[in-house]
Amino acid sequence: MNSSAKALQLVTRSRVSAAVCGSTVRIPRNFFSSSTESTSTAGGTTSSDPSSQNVPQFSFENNAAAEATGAIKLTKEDLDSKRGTISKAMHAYLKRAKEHQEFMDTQEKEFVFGRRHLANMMGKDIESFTQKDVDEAIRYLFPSGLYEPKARPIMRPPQEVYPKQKAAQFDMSGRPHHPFFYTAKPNFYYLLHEMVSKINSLNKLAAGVSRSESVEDDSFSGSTWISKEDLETRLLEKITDQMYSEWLACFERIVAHPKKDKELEFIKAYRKPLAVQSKTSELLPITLEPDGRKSVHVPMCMKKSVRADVLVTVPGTGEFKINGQGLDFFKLISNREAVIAPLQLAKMLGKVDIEANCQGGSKTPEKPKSPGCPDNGETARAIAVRWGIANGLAALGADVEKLRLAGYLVKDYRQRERKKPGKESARRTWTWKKR
Amino acid sequence: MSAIMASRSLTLRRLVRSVLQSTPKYTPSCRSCAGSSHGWRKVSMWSSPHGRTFASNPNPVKKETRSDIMMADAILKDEEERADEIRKQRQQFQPKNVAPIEEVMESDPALRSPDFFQVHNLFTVRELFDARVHLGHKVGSLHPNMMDFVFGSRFDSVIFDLDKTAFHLRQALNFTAHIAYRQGIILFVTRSPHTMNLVEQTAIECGEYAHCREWHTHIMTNSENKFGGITRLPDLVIMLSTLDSVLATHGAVFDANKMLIPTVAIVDSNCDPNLITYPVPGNDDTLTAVQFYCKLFKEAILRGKQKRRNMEHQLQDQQIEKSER
Repeated sequence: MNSSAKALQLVTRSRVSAAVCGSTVRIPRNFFSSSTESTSTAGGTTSSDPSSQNVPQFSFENNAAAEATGAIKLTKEDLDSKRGTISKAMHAYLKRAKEHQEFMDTQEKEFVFGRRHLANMMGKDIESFTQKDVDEAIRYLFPSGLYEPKARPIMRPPQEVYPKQKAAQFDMSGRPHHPFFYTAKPNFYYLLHEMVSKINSLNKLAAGVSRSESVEDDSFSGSTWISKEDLETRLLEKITDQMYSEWLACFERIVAHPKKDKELEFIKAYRKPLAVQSKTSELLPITLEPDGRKSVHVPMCMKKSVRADVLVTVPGTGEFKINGQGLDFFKLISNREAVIAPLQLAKMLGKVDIEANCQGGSKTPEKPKSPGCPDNGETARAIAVRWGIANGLAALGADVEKLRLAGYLVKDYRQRERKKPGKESARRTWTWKKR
Repeated sequence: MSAIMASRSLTLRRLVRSVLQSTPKYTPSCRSCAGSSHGWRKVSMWSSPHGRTFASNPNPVKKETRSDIMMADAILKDEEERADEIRKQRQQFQPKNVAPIEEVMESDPALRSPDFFQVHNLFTVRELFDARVHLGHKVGSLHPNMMDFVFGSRFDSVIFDLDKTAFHLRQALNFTAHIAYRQGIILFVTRSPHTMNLVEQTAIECGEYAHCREWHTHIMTNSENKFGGITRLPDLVIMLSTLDSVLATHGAVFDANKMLIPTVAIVDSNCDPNLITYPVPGNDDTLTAVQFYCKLFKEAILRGKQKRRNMEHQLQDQQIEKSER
């Protein structure tokens, strides 16, 4: 701003404008009259020390990231020339920033001095005395038995120890950089504003296309919305649970839109891939049979009291050998289906041979529970064998994620609960009769 | 000067007397009642849609009595004494480094002119009608303080007098343009969800500020703690609707008053205009109406800013000329 604009300020920033503008800072007329006078009135903000203050440039994405370490440097002359528009808010901020800078400067000096001292004590060259050497020296000179590492003595550069100050969010005249500054969560609400604008533009595109015509697809099945914490770090603002759910609801509306393809990039920026759990689990080793076939032996397949071990051999003819019998070892159709389910899912039915050996199960196999239920531990055996087959197939290269999602790879550790005295079974009581 | 004062006090005296002995007059010259063959129906709650109920005034015609004259003189004497006191106080507390208001008014062309930004040509009453500004809420929800702005009712809903709306809107636009010209901070406020995006967009487009979300009272009254330091508050609050999401008065109305921040607000027939500095009676729910207001306020602000820019360029040129000489 040049001096003519300053003169204009002089005229307009008088009593009337102050009265009209409500909270505008009132700047007296003779405040600008001469540069020497203004220097004296300015006090701390323009000292002879050329300490620089920065004015961060506003960007919607990352305004708070600009730190109080000079991006744009203001000299004394700059400040003098801008005196016409400087506001009370900016004065206060500059004072705060200057105090912080002075504090950091003294801390920095002390750190440099201390490091030099430490190097002398350790008998090392100061020039090649790195932070690693400092840490070692501190550990040696101040041995600490404290368990928590944060509680032990440290000596680090002050920039690492003291939190960085947030840069000013407003300009010299006190005008905030962000249009939603007064909401106190400008970045979050700007994001919401952006999203609603996108929905509006999509609606214009989709004029005439009804909601029902939209095809449901699973293009986002492998990913999920970023968490509240991630969103907070991205926006550099604390948000509440309610705000997060509002944000989610807004995004769900974009995703449900028939013309959402136009905004795929925008949507993907706020999604993160689901962690694939099965990749981390270990697979069983494959052994090479003498006849050249591959096989996987799955020991300890368990369900209730059943213990089975399964041998899956590939390539095979689809042969089943369960305790020496075929698939008709299982009397119930549902159990036969359970056993072949992982094979169907992995599309390996008829391509592998299964050999299983199971022990345990019902203690009274001869006595059925009821005439309609010939179970007697058969289902438990089937589930144990199924678990073994699924694991064997996983080791042989079937789609682990599919098997995991179907629930075939989960080991069932549940056991039968013992019968309690005074009860008919584990929990069931006898029918109560008054007398 | 004293002669002027004397004549002023004479006219004042006459005025006070006339008020004291005033006869309530009902002028049937208003449009809504004169013809009576038109489709408009007078709102039964008052006799004239243009003013307060005069018919129910129980004051009979009074003749000027001696005591009345004495009373008027006493009142006027009091007034004069008070004015003198105020004048003295003003002189006493007049800051020495601030120019007197008359001087500033004289020196600033923007303040000399009654319509410096030509806001009167921003809209016509016909356009107000087309944007459905005249439609109010049901008569039952009419706020008593809004009666002065009402033309009548139709199908049980209030119809605003657009001539009055135009007058108030022009005043509001003029004030807004002046604030923008003086580089004040203008905050757009609304809580109605269907116009929120539009209002925010308007604020961004004219380089001003918007707050269309939940209102926390600390924003203005405790801004130092809320924003972590001394913060410059808005110089003008423009409210596109003075009600919040539960149809109570918006918190910004009270807070702006507490902080002596002037407000320009669209007040619908169910809102209270009392705490608003520049109330504009009109429909605040219909999208076309809100779009219309947003367009007008944006244009007024941009005109104010443009004038400021022109002024600065002019001054720059003058400076250059001076230095060249």
